[in-house]
Amino acid sequence: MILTGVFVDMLLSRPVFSRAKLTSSFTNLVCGLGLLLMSGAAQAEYRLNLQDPVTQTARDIFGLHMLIFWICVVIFVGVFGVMFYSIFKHRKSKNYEASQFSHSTSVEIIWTVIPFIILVVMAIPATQVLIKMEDTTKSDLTIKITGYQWKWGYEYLDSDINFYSTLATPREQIDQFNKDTAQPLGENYLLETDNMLVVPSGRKVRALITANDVIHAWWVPAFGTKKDAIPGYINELWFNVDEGKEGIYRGQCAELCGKDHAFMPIVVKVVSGDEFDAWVAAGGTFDASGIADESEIDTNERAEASEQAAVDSPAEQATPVLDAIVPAAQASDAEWTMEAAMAEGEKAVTTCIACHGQDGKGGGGGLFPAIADSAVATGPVEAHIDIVLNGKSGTAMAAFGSQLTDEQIAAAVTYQRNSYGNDTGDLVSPADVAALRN
Amino acid sequence: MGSHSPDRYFIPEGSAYPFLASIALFCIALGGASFLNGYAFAPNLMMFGFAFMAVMLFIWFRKVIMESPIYNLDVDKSFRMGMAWFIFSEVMFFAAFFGALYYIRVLALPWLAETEILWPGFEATWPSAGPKGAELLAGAAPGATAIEEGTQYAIIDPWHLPLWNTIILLTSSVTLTIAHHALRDNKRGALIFWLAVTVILGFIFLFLQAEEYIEAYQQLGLTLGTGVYGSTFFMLTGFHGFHVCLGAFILLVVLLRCIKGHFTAEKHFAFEAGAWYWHFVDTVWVGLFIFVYIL
Amino acid sequence: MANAAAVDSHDHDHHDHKPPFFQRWFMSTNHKDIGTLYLIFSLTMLFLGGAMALVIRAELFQPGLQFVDPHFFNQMTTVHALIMVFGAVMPGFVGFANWMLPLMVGAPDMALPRMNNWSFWILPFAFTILLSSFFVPGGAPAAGWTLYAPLTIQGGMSVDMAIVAIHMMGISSIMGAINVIVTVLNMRAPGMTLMKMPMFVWTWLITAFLLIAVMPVFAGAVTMLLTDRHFGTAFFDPAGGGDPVLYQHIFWFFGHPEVYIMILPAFGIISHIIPTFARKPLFGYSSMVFATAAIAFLSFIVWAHHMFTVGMPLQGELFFMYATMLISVPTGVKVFNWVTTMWRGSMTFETPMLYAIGVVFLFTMGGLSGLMLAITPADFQYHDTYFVVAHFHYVLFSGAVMAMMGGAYFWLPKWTGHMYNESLGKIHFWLTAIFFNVTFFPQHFLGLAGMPRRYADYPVQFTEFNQWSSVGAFGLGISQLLFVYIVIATVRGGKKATAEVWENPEGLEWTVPSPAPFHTFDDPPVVK
Ligand code: HEA
Ligand code: HEA
Ligand code: HEC
Ligand code: CUA
Ligand SMILES: [Cu+2]
Repeated sequence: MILTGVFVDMLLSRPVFSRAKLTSSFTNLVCGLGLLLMSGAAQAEYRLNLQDPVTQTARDIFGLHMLIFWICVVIFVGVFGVMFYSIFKHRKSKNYEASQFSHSTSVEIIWTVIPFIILVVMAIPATQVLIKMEDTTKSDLTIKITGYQWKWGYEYLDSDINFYSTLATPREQIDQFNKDTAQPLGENYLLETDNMLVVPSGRKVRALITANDVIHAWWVPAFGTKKDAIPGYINELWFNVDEGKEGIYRGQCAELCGKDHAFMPIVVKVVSGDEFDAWVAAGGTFDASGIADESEIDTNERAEASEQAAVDSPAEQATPVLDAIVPAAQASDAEWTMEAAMAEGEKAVTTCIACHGQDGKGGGGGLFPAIADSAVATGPVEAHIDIVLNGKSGTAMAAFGSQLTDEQIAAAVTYQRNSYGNDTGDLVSPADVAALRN
Repeated sequence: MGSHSPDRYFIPEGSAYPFLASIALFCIALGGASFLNGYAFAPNLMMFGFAFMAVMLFIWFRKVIMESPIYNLDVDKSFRMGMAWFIFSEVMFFAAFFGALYYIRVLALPWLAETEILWPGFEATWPSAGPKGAELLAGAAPGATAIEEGTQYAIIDPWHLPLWNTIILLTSSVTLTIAHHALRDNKRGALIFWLAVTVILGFIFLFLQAEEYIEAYQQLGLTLGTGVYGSTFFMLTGFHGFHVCLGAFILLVVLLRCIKGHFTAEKHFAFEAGAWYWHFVDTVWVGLFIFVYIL
Repeated sequence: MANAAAVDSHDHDHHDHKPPFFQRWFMSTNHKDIGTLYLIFSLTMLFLGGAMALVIRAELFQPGLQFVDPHFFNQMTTVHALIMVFGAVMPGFVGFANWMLPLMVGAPDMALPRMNNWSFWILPFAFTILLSSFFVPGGAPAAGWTLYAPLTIQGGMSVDMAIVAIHMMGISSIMGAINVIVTVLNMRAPGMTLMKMPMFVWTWLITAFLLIAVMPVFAGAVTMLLTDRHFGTAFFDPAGGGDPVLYQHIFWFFGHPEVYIMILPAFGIISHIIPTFARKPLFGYSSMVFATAAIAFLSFIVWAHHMFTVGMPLQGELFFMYATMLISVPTGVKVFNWVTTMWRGSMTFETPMLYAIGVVFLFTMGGLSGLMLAITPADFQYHDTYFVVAHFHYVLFSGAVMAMMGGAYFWLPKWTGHMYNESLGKIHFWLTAIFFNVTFFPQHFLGLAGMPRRYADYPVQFTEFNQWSSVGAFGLGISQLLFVYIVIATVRGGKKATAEVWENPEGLEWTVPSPAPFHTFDDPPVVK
């Protein structure tokens, strides 16, 4: 028993059986079947029901959910109780004679009216909860949330704090195609970000939700909130986390937004009101001092890989998050050497490789063009800067002018023009980018 | 071989037309999709498809016309019902575009206007080219017939060409009805005359519509790309214009058949189908005139 | 000339004179052959769409990406759904309509036989276009079967191919639906009043109405998508004054009636099978008819329940919640009628009956989860999770697809003249029912626990149920090979079926010999 449990555990938490080749993976599937059938031991973490609510709204929804669930169960058992009774009693093999009745107005009226009444019983609490949920007035603070392909941007409208929040799980964990390079999955696999949204408990937080490119949806199950982020429009939602429920809550993007839809999680750190005020006063840095409980941050990053992640992941690049959305002051040209630009660029292109690929070879069977040997990335510099600044409408190539600083764009462009086999030798300076902004 | 006695329902024998027409449709569709993505072979494929389709429709309809003497009244009724339901499907097609217009004007634009943080200063007016088109709109009063100083587009004045078009189409419906009565009363001369008038009115409408588009594009700066106003305007009127084309063509064919003496006072399905279609297209125009041009 | 043909064919009206192969299958005007073509097409598509579902399930067997990259995964999801909905379920029911409607109403054929054949032949070409989009740059459409703007605005050429394919499917569906309506309204045998029509005929009549009403709306939606993509219009672009949500409204105005298009004919089939094996008339025939009409009516005013999270005004959310909940009432009437039809019957449990019971049981589960989805505040938690995926596979697979399988067993003897192998049929039923539940029941848990749909990869705590689901899916897929075997074996041979096939079944179709002759009811039968 324990042994099979261990096996299952191995199977589930790290894909030891996974192979690049399809054939052995089917073996894997068969093994999986065998193990599933053999063992009663289950993965510790799975759940059968909605996540534990930490807001009144989520509790209301939970209650509503359980109410309608049990009503449905009762109806189901009732209807099929009758049916199975009939199936067992009224069968030809028991020589049951069929009667030939074919209608009964009174019965038909009854089973039209009773369901209707049941529906009314369900609709009343549902209406009450809904009205409460839609009331976004009297909030204590407002946060603007913007969905991007594929990250979230947060702006605290009452204070001057802005930052992006990007998946922190390293690519090496996600890509299990090749077992030799793949890393085992971490505890918060796909549910970890570089920067967390920080909110106070016991205060009504109002969120204004929009998107930059396509529709996304911001969802934190434990808060009982889900709202679509629609480009060009603002949606509102609110939540008020119970005092005493401070901690880290995780959610995911819930509207198909393209290739990396599964890779733009939401991580919210709920702190007490005082801690939050301190955090805001400190300028909203993700310096450990700004947030009281350090150990919780560590759960966010996997211990073994944190060193690695610090180098690879975008976490580091975004650490002082102030002013990330508004283009920052530029470094003076004197410090802007090829070397510096390339180093900076390697970090900056983490945004770009989501589409254009780690190796600059593009992706999506040609939907996302290669940067390697691209006419734009090897042609006139202006055109290259222009497409990064202004994007290309009607394609996934967004206007990064509002997301990246001049320095970052200059670095990314320089990097693209001098890697993946491109060797233009061009050094693009932040000033070049600034000149092309209009 | 089906059963073909005159008192039985006519079941045609096997036919390759449907299969061939499907190939034609395939060429049009694939050609169209490739054309939009710049494939060199696409225009040819598409043109081939259209030509093939035209030929198929021609021989298919010719076959039906040749068979028609042995159709009994049940078959005739099937055709009528078929046509009526087809027109219903067209009604729903238009409904989608009218619905879009309604939604944009009544819901979307006011919402955009409320969204101050994204679109500061944008106000919901109609016509509107949207938040990004707001500056273009400044000064172009609704109903302006020419571009005023500093503005970039103006809209069609309903009381000129569109009004004429309304009168023309409504008249054509009347002439068509007169023709129909003439047909029922076996008055051949009147039938042909009034039907011909109808067809001519249809083509005049199309001509004026083309004039209007040219004016819009060349003088008013109003194009498909003029934000959501241009989009709805051209989508609705364009789709309607396409239907007028179709209807006029149908009536033209019916006219030729009238001249050839194909119809009797009792049995003239094609005439009626064409007439229904024409009245439908007319009704849609009235809707357009009110909701697109005037309001 | 045509006259001459008419006269001389009159006397040699050999009932079984069938044209040679090419004429028979490519040029047919015979409702039975066209029906067969539709059914074969549908089954082929079920396998193709199923194969894509298996790619999805293989990838989701474990967290991490093992087989396909997320972009390809999204293509699989999108095309799986498009194929299943427009290729497997809708044409499947049209196949049943073609075969059975003329037999049921006592008509010699469909009203417009050449158009009937055209409706069919458009489909293979439409799907050729849709499927060849896998080979264009950027691959097949990857924005979900709902093709939401603005994600589709970003897509490559495949989106255009999907749009033209949808136009073709629309043309096909509308022509097919017109044919059905005209056949039913104009070709009934003397004496068959509307309220004497078999239930399958009624459900298809109403389905056809829905089709004609909403397919053009869908065409309108994708046309706007096309012009936004290529001609600079701004329907779905806020910068130009448009709204991405507009697309959703138009899509779901089509999309919701569409789901009833996929279930009403299934209700019809069930309403034939249950009375036959309960040896008892269908309970509450007229309330069945009115319930069907009520469902169809309500289906037009509930569409925004797919969009509760887009940020509608409160009144809108309340209206759509109430209207959606109301649909449970007429649907409930149907379920109660079926159960009461079984009540005090004299039941036997041949394969069609097993399927019918399975459908009623499992569909109701899907219906009840639908009711849960209708509760707006709760839907905020369920929306776009696997709970929804579980819901619609319960209504679609165990509702629509299993009803078709039950219908196939029910009428196969009439179509082929042979009895199918009863024990294999029963095995097929049990395998299907069990594996179906293994596949989709755990998805309820996944959804509640928070797994979003359209995800190529997921956090580790969802692993276990995904594994159940994947294993079930492969079992379910493999079980369907048995179905193919049974059908082929039945076509090839087997015990001869009588004209009645079952014990005292009701309906005109059982008055003609099995297999049903090539031409039936050249002279209309008189009903009662
Ligand atoms: C055949 C197809 C089919 C059918 C029949 C239904 C039937 C129903 N569906 Fe479903 N639905 C889909 C196919 C279908 N659906 C699909 C494909 C989607 C997802 C689309 C996508 O996003 O890709 C979807 C999604 C969907 C949503 C959106 C979920 C979301 O995305 O957030 C909702 C929400 O209201 C919903 C509700 C319902 C309801 C209330 C019914 C009702 O008709 C059910 C009525 C039946 C019963 C209730 C059971 C029997 C009744 C009784 C036994 C009587 C007693 C009962 C009571 C009094 C309660 N469906
Ligand atoms: C009628 C409709 C229908 C049917 C029958 C099915 C059948 C199945 N569906 Fe499908 N599905 C949808 C309609 C349908 N689905 C829709 C509308 C969506 C939403 C898409 C979206 O989000 O846009 C969806 C999405 C969907 C998802 C979610 C994907 C995602 O969110 O990313 C999943 C995941 O498990 C799934 C699985 C399955 C499975 C396992 C089956 C099984 O029942 C299939 C069983 C398999 C077979 C019957 C085939 C057997 C094949 C073989 C044995 C191989 C032989 C191979 C060849 C011949 C080539 N479906
Ligand atoms: C969401 C996906 C996505 C992201 C992220 C992205 N791009 Fe792009 N990019 C595209 C697409 C799609 C195109 C193709 C546009 C077209 O069709 O011309 C493109 C085109 C380009 C081109 C022109 C290539 C050519 O040969 O046409 C360059 C250069 C480029 N991107 C640079 C960048 C840089 C720099 C970044 C990061 C700051 C970036 N991209 C991020 C999707 C993306
Ligand atoms: Cu962002 Cu899905
Ligand atoms: Cu619905």
